[in-house]
Amino acid sequence: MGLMADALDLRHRLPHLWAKVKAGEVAPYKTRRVATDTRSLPCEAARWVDEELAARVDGFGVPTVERLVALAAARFAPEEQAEKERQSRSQRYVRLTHPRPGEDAGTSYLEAAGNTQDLTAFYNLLCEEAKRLGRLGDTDDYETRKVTALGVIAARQGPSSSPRRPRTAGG
Amino acid sequence: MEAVSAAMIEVEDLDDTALLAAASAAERADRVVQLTKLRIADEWCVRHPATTDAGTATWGDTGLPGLSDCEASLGGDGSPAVAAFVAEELGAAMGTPPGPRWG
Repeated sequence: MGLMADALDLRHRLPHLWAKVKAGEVAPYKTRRVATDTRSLPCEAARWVDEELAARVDGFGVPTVERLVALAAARFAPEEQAEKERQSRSQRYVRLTHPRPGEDAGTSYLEAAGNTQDLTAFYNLLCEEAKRLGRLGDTDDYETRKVTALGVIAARQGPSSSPRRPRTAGG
Repeated sequence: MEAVSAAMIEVEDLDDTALLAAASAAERADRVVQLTKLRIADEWCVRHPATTDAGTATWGDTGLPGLSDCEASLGGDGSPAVAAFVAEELGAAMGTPPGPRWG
């Protein structure tokens, strides 16, 4: 039964979270979610997720759990991950969609499906750049700054064939 | 638990401040209950380790010989095995059916 399995894994595979939940520092449902989501991973992968989550002093949400579990699977269970990758490689793409007539002419869509580590590395880079822009005085909201960061990173990679537009407020 | 039951009965009579206080109290009480369940399950596991005599609890245990086609133990890699059918015993005490989809 799930409750016993979660308790077992918390004590033996997630000792930091087990200590925190007993101290009332983390909601029990979150720790059970971590236990269930890491069940199929090797012990060292579960321990790594445990340490990463326990180190977050401000707590963590379910999206963080999902991201760390995916990263742990890629790092610690490479064979299983490689098999999954072979199966999913046909579903990999980076797709740029331009607006259709009648839609906002200035807005396009970029979507990517691929290797978790690659996409996470790029996403983290975007977030870091967005935070840096914020510190430099960009007053756009965080999501908008992440989009701006795409252009900044593209420009940093050297001469681009794509024409640069001047930055405007809110753009 | 008293506060929660009382709040469930009288929510209509509470003003917003009291209702929010009741929500907060209910969340705290829920955490205590959830943690208590985890600690009970943990202690139950500690008391009932798998032995050669007792066999091992698995997700596939149906209570019927020959129908255990899943040999994985309850926990993940690195967690010790637990004696067969003790999960069913705890589940029965808690009124939850055994098996991976419940509890």
